[in-house]
Amino acid sequence: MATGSITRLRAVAAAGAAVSMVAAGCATAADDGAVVVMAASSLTDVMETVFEDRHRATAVMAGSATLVAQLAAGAAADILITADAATMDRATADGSVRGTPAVIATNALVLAAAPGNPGRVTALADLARPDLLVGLCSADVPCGALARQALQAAQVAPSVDTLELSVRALATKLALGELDAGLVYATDAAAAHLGVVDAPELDGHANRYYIASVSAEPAPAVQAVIDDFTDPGGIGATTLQAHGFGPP
Amino acid sequence: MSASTGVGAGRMPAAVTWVGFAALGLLVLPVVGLLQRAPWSALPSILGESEVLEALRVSLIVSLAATAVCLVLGLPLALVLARRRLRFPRMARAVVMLPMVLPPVVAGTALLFALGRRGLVGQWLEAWFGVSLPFTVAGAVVAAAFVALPFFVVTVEAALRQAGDDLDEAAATLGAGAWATLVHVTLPTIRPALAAGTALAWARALGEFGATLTFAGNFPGRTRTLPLETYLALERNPEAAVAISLVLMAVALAVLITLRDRWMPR
Amino acid sequence: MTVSFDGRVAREGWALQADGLDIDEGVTAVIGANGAGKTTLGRAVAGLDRLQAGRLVIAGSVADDPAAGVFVPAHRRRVGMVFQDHRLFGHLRVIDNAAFGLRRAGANRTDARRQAAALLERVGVDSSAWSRRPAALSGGQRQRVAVARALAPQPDVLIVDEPLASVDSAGRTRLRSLLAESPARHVILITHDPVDVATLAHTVVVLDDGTVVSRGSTAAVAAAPGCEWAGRFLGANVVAGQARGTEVATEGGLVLTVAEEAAGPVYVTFGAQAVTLHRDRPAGSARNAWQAEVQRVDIDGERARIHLTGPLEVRADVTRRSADELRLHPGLGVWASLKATELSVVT
Repeated sequence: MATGSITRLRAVAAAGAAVSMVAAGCATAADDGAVVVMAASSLTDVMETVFEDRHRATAVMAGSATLVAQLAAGAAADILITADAATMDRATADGSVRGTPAVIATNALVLAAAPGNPGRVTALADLARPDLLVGLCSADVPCGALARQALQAAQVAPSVDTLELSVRALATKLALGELDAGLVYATDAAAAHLGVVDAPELDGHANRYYIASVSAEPAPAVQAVIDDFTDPGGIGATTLQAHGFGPP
Repeated sequence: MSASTGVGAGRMPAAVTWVGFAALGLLVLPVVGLLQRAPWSALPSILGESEVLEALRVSLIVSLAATAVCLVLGLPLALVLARRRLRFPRMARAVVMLPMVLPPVVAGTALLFALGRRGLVGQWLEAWFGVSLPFTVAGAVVAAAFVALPFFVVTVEAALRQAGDDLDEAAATLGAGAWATLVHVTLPTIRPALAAGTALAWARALGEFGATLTFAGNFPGRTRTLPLETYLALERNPEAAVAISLVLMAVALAVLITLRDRWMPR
Repeated sequence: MTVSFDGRVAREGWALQADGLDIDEGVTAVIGANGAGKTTLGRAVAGLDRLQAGRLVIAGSVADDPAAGVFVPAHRRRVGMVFQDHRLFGHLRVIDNAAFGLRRAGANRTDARRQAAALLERVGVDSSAWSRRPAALSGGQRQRVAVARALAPQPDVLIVDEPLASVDSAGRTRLRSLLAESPARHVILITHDPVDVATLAHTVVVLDDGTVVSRGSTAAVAAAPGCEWAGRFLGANVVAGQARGTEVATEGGLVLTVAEEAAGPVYVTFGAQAVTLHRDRPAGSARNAWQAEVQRVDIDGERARIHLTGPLEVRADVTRRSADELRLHPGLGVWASLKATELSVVT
């Protein structure tokens, strides 16, 4: 939430900059020449590492759906990275993104338990136990949509206590022990030091992260950043793997 | 305050007047923005959606229960602050105001640390009584009461200070004990402030978002209040969000205007 | 039955100390300059302020004794109080203000209102005002309601703080008679008004800077007032008469000319210093002149107080030097005079 408000402020600043960019014919969305990257909030740590000490890019972090809405409303950015296909599809469909999207990483959905596993969660079916405090992401955010699909496929009707608005909030409540079990991304489970319970039903249920240039003909500096993520040896790709993301 | 017609009534720098009206504009403009984007024709169908009705029901239950909690706990607190000689009166008053300035999400996190299942006090609630507040209606009530309480206490305490204890003394010399004085003199004397404090606390509880989301979570029919429903709708269907916001504003305005005419000093 | 006060009440940076002060039945006037401790004494008797040390006994039972850990709270004391600022309950109608004490004592609404109505009638509050709120009344009416409210629960002790300050003239006479025949066995009258002392009080207590400097009957205290303020206050002469325009016919047959117009029964007050004494009939502007006989001469340092008889029973303060020059002694016939501007008329 706190990062959300900061990123929104940046988005406003970037929107103002867009006007001057068009007028001057600059190569990037920001007037200082830095590449503006809008990225899903689950990539916050990755972006900090990739762009650390490099002034060539500014990262704007928010939920994928929010980013797409901001782009549609005229926010200035060079690159969009979303946490799922659906939001990227929306951005390309309404014309706010003109480049061709490419998959840069996957993030597997995992069954996470509170530290010490006080609820003795051993299988995906345990999410149906009414005695457990179970949390999922809201269906409006990608991790929630994915969880719903996976549970339907596994024919598990979960006894849900809360539908969190972000996967980070869900992971935090699991880490605090306020929830017994929930479905989060592998990366969030790792970052929050959550125990992961083996759940074969979740295999194949992973989110794909997409990258795309906002412009159909990206400037060289913008293309360089995209290459960092799509090239398997690039700093973007290696950092993603270091943070627990799966290969494309 | 009665309308003054004397020459002195309008005596202030013109700039003050202009800035004053500009400030009013700042408050009114967003409301106008909301109104001009309102999907008037679709309003009945949006508001008739079962999710919205369910959120409205949750909101009414939670905000009214939170207001009741504010009254039951806030009145004694206001009396203690106004009448007792405290060792650190400023400190006590600052602590009371804290939830007003605390970002609601932080308030919710603080509530988790204190009253959550693994929280300072919450772990004992769970161990001794089997009570767990997070992700329950009771939790939503606690979160709303936490952020609304200062509004009630500050309003009532100010009125108690202004009233002083002169009338309480008079009641004592007429044979009224502490309870009789409280019920028959102190409370009736500050009735307008009680009504104002209750209305403010209720309005704050009705609009509560961050602390509820953090402490009580979000589940339809249980903890998903109208503000949460509005936030979710914003991503899914902005028109619905506008419609729900209109309802929230209309309800709050209606109550505040009614109270102002009936109870508040003019 | 007495109220006996023997102790100390501490206020911020200041204290009231009264040792062995017994207040007998009847009306006791408590006088003294502003800040002398009059109101503090009243509040301690009522139970609104606690003793710091000592003991307060009301009608044989200990009301306050910090050493013994006894403190009877105000609402159990049967001590009523009429406050200087009235302190009526703004949310209650006049009739329910007057009925408040009766309701607290357990009377039902109907009975309490009936008794309250009778009292309001006695203090002269018109029945058209009974269903109004206090804010709609004049200061004088509010004062009367406050008196009715305090009398209603029939207290043993009634404390009246500056009772007649805001009452109109018709109300004053009525309230005075009401206080004079008050059902409360003790009336403690905190006052600034010499007429109250002269017409109501049986006993006077003089406070000065937190201590009792004199007490006793009105005459005894006038003879030994204990402080300069009380001396001047009690030296004040009070003469009853019938006013007609600027002339007041006194009971002794003398007609006094006064500065303000009035009509009907009045009191004329003037300080003992205002009376001038002469060997022969005075000439000049002093139109209020009469022949009197010196009854007694009290010498007190450089000051002499002369008690005069004749058409007016008055006291005159002169310097010791002029008393010697005039060779004043009991039985001597003198001329006394007063300036009209020195006289105040109290209705």
